Amino acid sequence: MELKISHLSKQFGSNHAVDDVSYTLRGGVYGLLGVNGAGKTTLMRMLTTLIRPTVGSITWDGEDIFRMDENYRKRLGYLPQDYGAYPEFTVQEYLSYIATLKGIRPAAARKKVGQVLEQVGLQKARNKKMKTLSGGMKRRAGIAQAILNDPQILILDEPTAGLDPRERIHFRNLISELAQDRIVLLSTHIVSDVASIASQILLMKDGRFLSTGTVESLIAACPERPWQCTCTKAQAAALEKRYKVANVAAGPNGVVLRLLTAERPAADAVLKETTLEDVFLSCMGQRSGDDDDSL
Amino acid sequence: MICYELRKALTKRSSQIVLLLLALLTAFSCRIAIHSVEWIDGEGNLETGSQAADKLRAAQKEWSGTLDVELLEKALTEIRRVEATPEYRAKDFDQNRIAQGWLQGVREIRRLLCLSFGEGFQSFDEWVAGQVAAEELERFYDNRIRILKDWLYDPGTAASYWYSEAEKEFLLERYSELETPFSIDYAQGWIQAAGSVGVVIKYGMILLGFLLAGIFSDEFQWKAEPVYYSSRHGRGKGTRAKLAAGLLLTTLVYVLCVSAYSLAVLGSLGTDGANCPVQSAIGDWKSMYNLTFSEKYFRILGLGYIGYLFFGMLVMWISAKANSPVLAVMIPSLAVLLPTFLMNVASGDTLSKFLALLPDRLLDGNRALAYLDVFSVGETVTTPIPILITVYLVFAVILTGACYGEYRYKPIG
Repeated sequence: MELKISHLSKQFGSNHAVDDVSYTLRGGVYGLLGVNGAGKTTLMRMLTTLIRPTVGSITWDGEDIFRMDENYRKRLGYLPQDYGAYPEFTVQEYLSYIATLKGIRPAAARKKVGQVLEQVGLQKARNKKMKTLSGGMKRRAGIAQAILNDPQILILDEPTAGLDPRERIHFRNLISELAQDRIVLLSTHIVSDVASIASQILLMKDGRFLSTGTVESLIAACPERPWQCTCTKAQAAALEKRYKVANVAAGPNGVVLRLLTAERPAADAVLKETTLEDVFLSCMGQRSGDDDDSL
Repeated sequence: MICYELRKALTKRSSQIVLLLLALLTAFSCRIAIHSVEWIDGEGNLETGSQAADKLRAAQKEWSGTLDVELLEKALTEIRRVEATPEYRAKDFDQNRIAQGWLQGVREIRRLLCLSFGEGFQSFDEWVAGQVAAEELERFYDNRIRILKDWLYDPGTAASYWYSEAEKEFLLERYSELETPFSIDYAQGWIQAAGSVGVVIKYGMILLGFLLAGIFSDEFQWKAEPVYYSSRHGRGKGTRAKLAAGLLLTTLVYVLCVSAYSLAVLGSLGTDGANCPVQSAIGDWKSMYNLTFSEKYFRILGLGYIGYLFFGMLVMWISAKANSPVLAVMIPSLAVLLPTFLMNVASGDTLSKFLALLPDRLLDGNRALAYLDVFSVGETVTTPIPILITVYLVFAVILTGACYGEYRYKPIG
């Protein structure tokens, strides 16, 4: 079970959406982290055979996935970022249809649909039309369709978008359960979604992998450390100009700043424990995620 | 998989409106066809519909049979008798109408006499019938060929240069091949059914376009395409199921609309005259197609179905290519409607020949089987019908392949 990406590039006009990426995925959960526009979705669309790379190859156990065609796709489960469904279908009809598209026999499909509905907590909504589902329920239906065929490769693009905190926890648990004996590639720009479940993190920026490894190895390799200090508003403004700011909070004695820097930023600054969010911010730069308020 | 595709196509609100419009269109066309049959009662009152058809049938049955000199003489006597009555000669509309009512049984024979003994190919004068001498009746069928010949070879007519020598001979041969004397009978069921079925077929096709337009492009409209294409069968069986659903929907809509229309019209107006040649009615006296009424009607339906296959595939191909249901409806609709508009505003042999080969003609078989359009292909002269059938069946097959290839290999950006 090996999904190998070799020198993969995808160019749209003059824009290099994915630029010479190489990596090998084996069993486990892979968290693909990057700000919007980093190339995560393009990479995933190539991994799902939706688009062909401009240069490079993707192989499954040594065989080109585009040549494998449906033999590759039968192993695949995919939840796209911008996911839509058939508005007049009920949840059950929708999943039955996708099961048919995935080549699951009708009797097995009936059983499997019931099973995944239970897994994602949509049993009660099984007869609701897709167009009447809330954003979170629709996302859960999307996850359900992705896991219908017990895929060996499960690719989830922003799966927690639209889910409330309780649903996100439920989802994380579900992914942990599913992760055995398969490859799960999980793309997100919400760091906390992958920090606890991913065995490997792939940090992506401008179409390239900036850094890859376990959460611990990435933290260890991070050149900057988080420092916390309390200061006045004027001091805070000056520090914000000099250092990357991971967090700003109002405290009883002034502004509490969490700064990312290799050196102690202020005399009273206290070194804190580094998290994946700090690594993400350190790699991406403070400004990269300006469009994303969800960091 | 095909059932799911049909369900996707038919459960949309817009599709339900289209189905309702199809039902209304069929019902409206039935009404038009059935109420085109008129009967004038003894007091000059006009009746329409199936009851009028019953009365007209009874009256025309008295004049049915082999249209030989004997029947023509008998009809001529009756025509002269009515035309001599003061009611017929009266300038009063109501009186005149009563006399027209007396002629209803012999009406078709009277019209054919007017055409056969008229002054020329393009003329029709209803006074001619009563003035035909009994000894001239032997020339009734020969006149049909003679008038065509005069029209084709008269240097003063456009036809003399429209047709080549071979084409002229082809037309005369077709005319000569008509077996005479032919039978005549009440055939209003077939005549009216053929007259209005084009409305059901043509506008039904435009409405069908709305049902077919989404089969391929809706995946993109609903943003469902990434899941569809990343599934095992999305690019293979899934695409074939879409094509099959489209063809099934095309066939179902066509068969249901046309069957409902045919059953209603023929059921109301009757199927009498099925084996009479179409030339036994005024509308097709000049036809070069030697067919019976029933043969002509079923040929119209056959042409219509080929038209549906072609236009249906065109809609689906545009839908697959452009991912746009709007374009998929608009372009074929223009292809259906524009030639009709052009034919009404333009004239000329070249344009007429060009229009005769456009696919909309398949949807209007009554017109296609009425016009004297002929084409020379090499040394062979032929009617447009085999060309239309061959060309658009081939196009339909090509479009099916193109549609499959387009959708199967579509990159999802």
